[in-house]
Amino acid sequence: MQITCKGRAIHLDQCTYLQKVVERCGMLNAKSTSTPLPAGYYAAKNTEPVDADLRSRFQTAIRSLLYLMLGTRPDIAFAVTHLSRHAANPSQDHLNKALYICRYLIGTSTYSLVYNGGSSAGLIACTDSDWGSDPTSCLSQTGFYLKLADGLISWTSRVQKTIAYSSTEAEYMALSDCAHQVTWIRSLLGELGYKLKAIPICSDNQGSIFMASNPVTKPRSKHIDIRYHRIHESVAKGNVELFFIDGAENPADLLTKNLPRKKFTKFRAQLGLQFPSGSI
Amino acid sequence: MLRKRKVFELVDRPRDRKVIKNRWVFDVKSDGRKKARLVAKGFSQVEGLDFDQVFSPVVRFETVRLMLALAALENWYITGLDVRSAYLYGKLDEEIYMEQPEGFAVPGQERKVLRLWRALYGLKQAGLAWWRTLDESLKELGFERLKSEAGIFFYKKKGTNIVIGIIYIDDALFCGPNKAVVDAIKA
Repeated sequence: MQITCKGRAIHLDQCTYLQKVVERCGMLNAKSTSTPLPAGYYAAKNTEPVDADLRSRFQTAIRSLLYLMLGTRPDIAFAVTHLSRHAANPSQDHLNKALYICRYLIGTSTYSLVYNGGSSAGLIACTDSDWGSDPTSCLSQTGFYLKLADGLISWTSRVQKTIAYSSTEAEYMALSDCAHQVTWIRSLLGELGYKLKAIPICSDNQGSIFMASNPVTKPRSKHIDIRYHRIHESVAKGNVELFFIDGAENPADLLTKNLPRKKFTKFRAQLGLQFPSGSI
Repeated sequence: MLRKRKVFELVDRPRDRKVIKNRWVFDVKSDGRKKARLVAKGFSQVEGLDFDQVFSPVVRFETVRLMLALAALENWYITGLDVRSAYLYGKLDEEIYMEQPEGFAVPGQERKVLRLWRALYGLKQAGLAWWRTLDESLKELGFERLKSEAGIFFYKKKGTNIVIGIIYIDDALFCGPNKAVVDAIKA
């Protein structure tokens, strides 16, 4: 991971490692793609017996991609975690799709995360979910991120642990997942001597915001797993503050599904991922 | 290097303990220099006797990014450093014996073995031993470790000059508002 300071901005990238990964996957001269995975793509479970050779190739690719994703690339978070679920028994299609991500990286290899020192936005979080996104298990997807100084500092894209009955519930669980992370960041910054006001969390679902802000238990929400009521506590204590944003304007959408190119590019620009100035 | 740091000492072969083997690892570094490193074969260690705890804390990526964002906002000065053959600093709590390295056995005393005082690369607990030693020495310098993140140390002098250290095994980043103070701590 390289860190470069340019004026008041700090750039963070893994370009050297990325080149190595592309080389290892044998994709040096491949054509680049504009999104990590085709829009709406769902990786189905492989029913064939395990192919050891295929598996080792797939795991090598996914391993490197995961490392990149954790380091500096929130844009491939959904794609990589989505595929990595099949690491135990991948199909040829899964391997092709892993290489698809590689090709996306070729086109965006010089991207870096930028923290802009002149920013006045403060700490802000965004959550989103995709209800019942997994047709096999009927589980929903959580996606959230935290942003400071115009750049992402923390991002997560994962499948929820319990089944949600409605999209409101899925969003509610996503909010709760996010609240965990916010609590940790608060205590970390608190130890360094920063006194924070309530941290804003944006969600695009009115119902879930209402549920989190009001301690009501209705027939439609009484079954929600206890672990997800954590968000109540955070709101009541004033640690977080919930805001509504339009679903079409929620960049966290990128962490929950494979978006079409236009939407993907739009949201990616809001993550603090930038081309180095000069090229383009 | 190994002798200077008093990593080991020559002793008689113990009867009741397993003696760990070792090997040399050679590598050409990216800048063309050649390096040789003596590593212990950690897999021959016996749990409970030769090692106990092996977990050593590492800073989370998220924290590094958080600190960098903070540094950008506060316009802090950042500097990095890397500790040379870090693991050899780690003090061992356990009693560990190792064969003499190939080609470097003391003439006439080939039967004797080495008692290790410091961790060697390859030992199961090397990471933890190094981290403990680092933790201690940073404390002596006046650093404090955060409770919510074991890889962050901070130093606060009277006034507002704070220095934050981010430790990733043997790589460290120090940042703070005042360049002179940060450099002084780094030294």
